[in-house]
Amino acid sequence: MSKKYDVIVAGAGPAGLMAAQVLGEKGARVLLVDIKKDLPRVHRACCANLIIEPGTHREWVTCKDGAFHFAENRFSIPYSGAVIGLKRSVKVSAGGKTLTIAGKSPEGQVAVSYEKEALLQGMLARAAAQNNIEIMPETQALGVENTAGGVAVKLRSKGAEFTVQGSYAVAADGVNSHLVESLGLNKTRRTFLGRFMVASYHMEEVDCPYPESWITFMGKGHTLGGRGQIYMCPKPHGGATDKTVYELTVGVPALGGAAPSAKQEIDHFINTGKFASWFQHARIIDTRAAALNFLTPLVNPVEGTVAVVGDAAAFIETYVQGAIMYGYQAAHAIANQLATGAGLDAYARSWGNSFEYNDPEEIKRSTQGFGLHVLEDKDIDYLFGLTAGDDIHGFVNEFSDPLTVRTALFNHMTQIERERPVLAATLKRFSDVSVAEALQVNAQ
Amino acid sequence: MKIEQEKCVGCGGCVNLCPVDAISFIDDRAVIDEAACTDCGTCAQVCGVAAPQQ
Repeated sequence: MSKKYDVIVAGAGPAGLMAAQVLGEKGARVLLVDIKKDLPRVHRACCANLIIEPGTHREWVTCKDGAFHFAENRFSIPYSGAVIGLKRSVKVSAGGKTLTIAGKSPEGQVAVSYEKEALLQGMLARAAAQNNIEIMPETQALGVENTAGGVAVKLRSKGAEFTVQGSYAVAADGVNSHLVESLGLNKTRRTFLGRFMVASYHMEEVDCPYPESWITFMGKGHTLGGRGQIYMCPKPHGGATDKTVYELTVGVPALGGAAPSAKQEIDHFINTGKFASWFQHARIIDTRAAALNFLTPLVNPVEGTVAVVGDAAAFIETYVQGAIMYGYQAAHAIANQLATGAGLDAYARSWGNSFEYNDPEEIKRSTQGFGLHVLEDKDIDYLFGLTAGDDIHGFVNEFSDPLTVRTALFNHMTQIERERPVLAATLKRFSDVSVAEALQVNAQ
Repeated sequence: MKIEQEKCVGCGGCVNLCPVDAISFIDDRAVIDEAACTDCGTCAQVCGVAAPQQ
């Protein structure tokens, strides 16, 4: 039976748009579906910083001359939006002590803040310009089945459900992927931490004492519930405003019942929290949110003729740049498969080799600093206080940042052992913690 | 369950986590099909901005 589409791509985020564009350029007949109507509009909380540390996902991504460059994979994509180079990563304790990491890149940056909507607008325009790519907005992919001759993808659009046939499918439908669930692949994954919910505000007129910084608020005293993750950084904002816009993001476990929601926590943080004075003149110009399950990565991101890319295959996320890279790799693998009958497994191999959380040893190395979250606020105040004046360099990459912090603190171990022997023993224990323990400890 | 439209920011979290696919996106906002909804409360549990209401 001849099918209408060579490839059906579910999800028009960075992974799906990249996959669709590459496949379109190779001459494939592509269907790209997404539940949104305004595809490049970002409603989902996403810090979207360019992670510039060499080796992230076995790649080195840089932003230069109006493009993001992927050195190892040898491709670039245009990005004409604004950027803000983040010069330092500042971790702020509940008592206001800081641990400051200066940027280690050649430009002295820890990361680059950019505008995800501008990126997606450009990617969508390039995909839409190709006649062999059909784009179906307001269409949700409910599930996929491998069939005798390819795939059948069940869609829902404006209340009507229907099925489309293709030779291959790309599941780029995000962290809570319906397609992955429909294939039964989540049964092969382990859950850490349960579910998280996230709220973020974009604000003008924030009196932030740490400009051009990636700011992490550490410790229990920042939140009502005593748990969660809080980040803030400046964000370019589409020419909509000349003022500096800060994005504040709060993620907390989705516990239900009387436990505080992300919305309650973010409102507490700006109105009555330890640093509410930063926000007394702030004006909220955008609210975003997210919900996610924490599942271990898919060991094999290819199931029959379905390739799972980006966050749909990941533990938490692949970053936007990883979504683009894996979309690119999967599309090339499918194009090779379409042309020669072989090649799809190249994508699975690349995923296995490059996504950090697939390697238990790498997880162990990167989680050795996670234990900070279980310390009492007064201990974090004390430890950060010790680092005042230290010359610490690094990035914000989650795979190296905990180790940077750990090394910075362990440089003061002699003093900690002398002044706080119990705390010294606790810190040393983090080195021996297993991956599972580290991640669960983090949730408290 | 119902989604308060003025609170919903359209992040899509509840859409994908609804166990019975009862939540659709209409004009980039989540809308619950009340006939399909089982009142399980998953959407309320995961919503970052507390838009779903009983």
